[in-house]
Amino acid sequence: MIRSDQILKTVEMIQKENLDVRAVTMGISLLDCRTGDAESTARNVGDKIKLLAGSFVETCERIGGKYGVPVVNKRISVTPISHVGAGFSQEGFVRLARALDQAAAEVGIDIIGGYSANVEKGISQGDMNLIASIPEALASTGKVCSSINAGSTRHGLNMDAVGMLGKTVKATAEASRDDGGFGAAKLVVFANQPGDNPFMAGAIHCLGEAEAVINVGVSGPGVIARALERKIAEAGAESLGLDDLAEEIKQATFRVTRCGELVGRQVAEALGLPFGVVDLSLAPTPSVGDSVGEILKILGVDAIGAPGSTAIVAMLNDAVKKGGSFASQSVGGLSGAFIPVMEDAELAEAVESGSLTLEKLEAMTCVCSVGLDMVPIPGETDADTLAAIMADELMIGVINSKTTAVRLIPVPGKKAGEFISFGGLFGESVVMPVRNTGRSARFVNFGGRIPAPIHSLKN
Amino acid sequence: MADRQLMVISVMDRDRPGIVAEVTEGISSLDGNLADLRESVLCGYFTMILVASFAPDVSVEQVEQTLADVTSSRVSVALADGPLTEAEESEHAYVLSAVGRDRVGLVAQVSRFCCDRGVNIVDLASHVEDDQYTMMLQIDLSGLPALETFEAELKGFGQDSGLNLVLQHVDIFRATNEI
Repeated sequence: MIRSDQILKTVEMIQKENLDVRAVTMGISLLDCRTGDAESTARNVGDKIKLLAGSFVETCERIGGKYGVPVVNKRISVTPISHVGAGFSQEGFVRLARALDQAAAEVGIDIIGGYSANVEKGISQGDMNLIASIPEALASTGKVCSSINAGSTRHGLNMDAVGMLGKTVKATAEASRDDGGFGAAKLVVFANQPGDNPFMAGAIHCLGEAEAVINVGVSGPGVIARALERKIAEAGAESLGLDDLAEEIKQATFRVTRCGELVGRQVAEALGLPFGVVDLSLAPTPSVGDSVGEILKILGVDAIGAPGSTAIVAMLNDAVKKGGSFASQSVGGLSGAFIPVMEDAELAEAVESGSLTLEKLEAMTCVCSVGLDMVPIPGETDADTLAAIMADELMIGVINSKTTAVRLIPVPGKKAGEFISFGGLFGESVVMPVRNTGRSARFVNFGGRIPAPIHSLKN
Repeated sequence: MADRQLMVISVMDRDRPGIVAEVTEGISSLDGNLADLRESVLCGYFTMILVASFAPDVSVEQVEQTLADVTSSRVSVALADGPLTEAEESEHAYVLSAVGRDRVGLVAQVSRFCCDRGVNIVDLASHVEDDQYTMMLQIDLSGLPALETFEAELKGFGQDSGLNLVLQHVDIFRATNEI
C-alpha cells in the first residue's frame, strides 16, 4: 500500500512544482522512403510518418491522463534528411522539409527534428545541398527543426563546415526576419551529437537505431528548486553542506526520472514500439518556478553569472545524472542540465541585468548540457564571428568528450539590450552583447579541420 | 491447522506502551496463532485489527474474557466469515486525491460519490494544513463499465463540491517512491 505522505509528495510535485514529461519523441527511420526523385520520396515520407504516428498524440494524452502527468510536447525525430535526400537538388531538399512539416501538422505533433546532416569529417554533395537549403526550408515551414553535427571527439572539428554554418545561421535568421529571426531558433550546430536525443532542435533518429522508437525527455527544474527550498527551510542553511544539497537533488531527480520513464514505456507499449531512452536533462521553461537559473540562486549565488556559478552548475549537472541514471533502466540523449537563455526566465533576467555574459555562459557550458542555447545576439554580428563562437563552443565538446551545441539567433535589426520574444516555450530575452566582433575572420578562413584530440595525457 | 477457526479481533485505546504485548500474550495463552495484524495511531489514539486462528474448542466468549483479564483496552472479537482473502492488486487501482477548504462532510461527500458508482475505497488517509483538507483515497475501478464516464462525472463533482480532484493510476506513486 502506498503511504499517504508519498501520495501527497507526488501530487504536489505535479500540481505545484511543474513536474511534467517535457517531451515524448517518436524516432522514425525514413531510409526506406527514398526513391529516385524528391516528389515521390516526399510522398513516402509523409505516408510513413502518418502510418506510424497516426495515434501518437492521442496515446500520449491518454497515458498522461492516466497518471495525471502532462506530456507537454509530442515530437517526432527522423533519419537525418541528408541520408534520405542525397542526390537531390537544394529545391528537392526543401520539398522534403515541406513534407515533414505537413505530416507533422497532420498527426498533430508540436515539432519534428531531423532536417540534419553529419559533417564532422567532411561534407558530401548531399550534405552541401541540405545545408544550402536550410534558410529557405526553415523559413517556409513551421514545425521542422534542423541540426548539423560539425565535430566529434573521434574526428575533430570540421572548420570548413563551421565557416559555412556561420553564414547559414545568419542567412536563416535573415530569411525569417519578419519573425525576429525565429528560423535560427530551429537550427542547432553540434559536436558529438547524440543519435537518440528527444529534445529539439537537435533530435534525430540516427542510423543504428530501430525502425521506430520512443524516447522521453524529462523536465523538473521546479521540482528540484522546491525540494532544495524545503530542505533548507527544514534543516536551516547553516547546518547543510553542498553535499547534503547534492543528495537532495539526486533524490528529486530520481522521482522525476521515474515518472518520465513510466509514461514513456507505457506510450511505447501502447503503440507496439520499443522504448529507447530517458534523457535526464533538466529542461527549463519560461514559466515562473520552472527555471534552472533559479536553482543556481537557491544554491548560493545572488546573481547568475557571479563567481561560483560554474561550480554550482557542475554540481547540479552531476547530481542530476546520478539520481537519474539510478532511476532509469535506459539513459541516453543529452542528459544534463540545460541553460537556454531565452527559455529560462531567470537566465534571461541575468542577461538583462548584465550579470550573465556570453563568456561566462560559455564557461558554464563546459560542465553541463548542452551549449550556447537560445542566445539572441545582435543581428549585425558578422558570419565569421558567429562561426568562431561556434568553434569555441564545439571544441569544448570535442576536447572533453561531451556533447556541446550552439543555437544562436542573430536577431535581424536588433542591437544588444533590445528585447526579443518568440512566445511559448521558446521564450524571450534581451539581445546579448557580443564583444570583440570582427576579429576572428583570419582564424575561420583557414578552414580545414581542427584535428581530433589525443586521448591520453589528460590535463 | 486446517480445522482451526479464524477470529477477527479489534482493539482501541488511548495510545500507551504495552497494548500489543497484552493482547498478543492473551492470544498466545489460548494457543492462538496470528495470521495478520495491522496497527495505527491517530491523534494519540491506538487502534489495531488482527486475525488469529484458534483450536475449534475455543469460543469467541472465551477469547473476549481472556483478553478482558489481561488488558484494559477496548477489545471486540468476531468469528471470521469464511476463509481469509488477500486483497489482490488490481490493474485498475487508482488514487483519488481531493483537496478543499476544511468543512463538515467532505469525506462523506466524496465517499458517497464513490459508493453510488460501485467504487470500493481500499485505503483512505487525510491531512489538514492551513485550513486545507486533503484526502487520499486508494480506489479500485475494476467494476466500472467505462473509466471515461467516471472521469467526466468526477469533473462535474469537483466543480459542484469546490474540491480539487485528481485521479491517477497507482503506478505513478510506485514509480516515484519505490526503488
